[in-house]
Amino acid sequence: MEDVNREMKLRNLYLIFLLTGCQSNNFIDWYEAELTLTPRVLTKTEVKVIETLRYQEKIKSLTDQGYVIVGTSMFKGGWEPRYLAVEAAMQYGATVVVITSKTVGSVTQNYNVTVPRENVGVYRGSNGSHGTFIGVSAQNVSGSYSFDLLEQKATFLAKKDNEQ
Amino acid sequence: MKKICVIFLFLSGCASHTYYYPNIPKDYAVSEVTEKEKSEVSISVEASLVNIQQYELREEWKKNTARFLKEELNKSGLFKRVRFALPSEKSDFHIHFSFFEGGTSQEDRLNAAIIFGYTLGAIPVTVHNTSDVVMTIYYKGIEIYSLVAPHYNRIWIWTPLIVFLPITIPLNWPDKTRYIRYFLWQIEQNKLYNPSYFISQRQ
Repeated sequence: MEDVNREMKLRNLYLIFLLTGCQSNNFIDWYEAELTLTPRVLTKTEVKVIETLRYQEKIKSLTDQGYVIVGTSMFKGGWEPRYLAVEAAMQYGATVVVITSKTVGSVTQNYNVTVPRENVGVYRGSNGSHGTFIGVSAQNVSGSYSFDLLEQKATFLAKKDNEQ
Repeated sequence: MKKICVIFLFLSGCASHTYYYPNIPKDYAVSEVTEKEKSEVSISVEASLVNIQQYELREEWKKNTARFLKEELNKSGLFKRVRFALPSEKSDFHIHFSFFEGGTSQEDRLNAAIIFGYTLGAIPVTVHNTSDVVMTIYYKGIEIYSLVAPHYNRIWIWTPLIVFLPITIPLNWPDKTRYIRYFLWQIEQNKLYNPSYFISQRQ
């Protein structure tokens, strides 16, 4: 049973990568490598994501503990889901990602979607005849939502023994 | 019998899921902490909910989440007492939780619902949800520890996917409250329930 569950989890993980393959990942798009590590298969449990306001201090504390900086990413935009940082870390062989973000503004996005609307009516003829009619027309549904614009910085780190 | 099978298939929905969440050891159970080691802690919650725009719903969400967190932290037995506090009025030992909920935009969700509804599920649609929970621990006003629990799930909705349901939804389908177990595990592993001890270990 455990093996089956494990297999299912692995299958789901592959599916995630497959499905997110065409999705943009700012942590990867804006990645700048500091050093290349020996390719090693990392599991998602091995990657730790730290979100901090004491960014430089945290990186220093980790480097003091024997970690090396593998690469960095810096970008501005909406909140980038942190599972994408895990994905990037797994790609570059990093086990810790230190992230900091600062709000620099907010963005409001409007949307307008055309949806079908059914029309039902009753007609009465001059000669006393009557009946119903059904038709379809278009209707616009609009709305808006806003989100914070953030400056996001990430540093990818790994233990020194993984260095090439 | 056939009727029961058909009803079962429809009740289980026509969806397939993929997900990501932080893992914790399977056999993990919070261990006993002596009264002497325990401390009083205050907690606060803030949330950025892109897909919930109404103020009342956001506040309701925050209130329920804060209650849930307080209950879970109390139940864990790692703390002497857990109480709410505004971030500006935090006690010496304070845990702040920030939630960032996102995923498919409202516009795309609406489009997906329309396509699915009007084609009776003949055209597959997909939506995804993301949820990042950041736990920041403060001691005497200084951040001493922080961690993110990222969560992601994608749902494919298409009528023929009914047949794959038993394969795609394992029994341990993660619920979104899993993050609290991940945090409790880290708090316990690092002995963060006693911040002065945690600091002394790092020096």
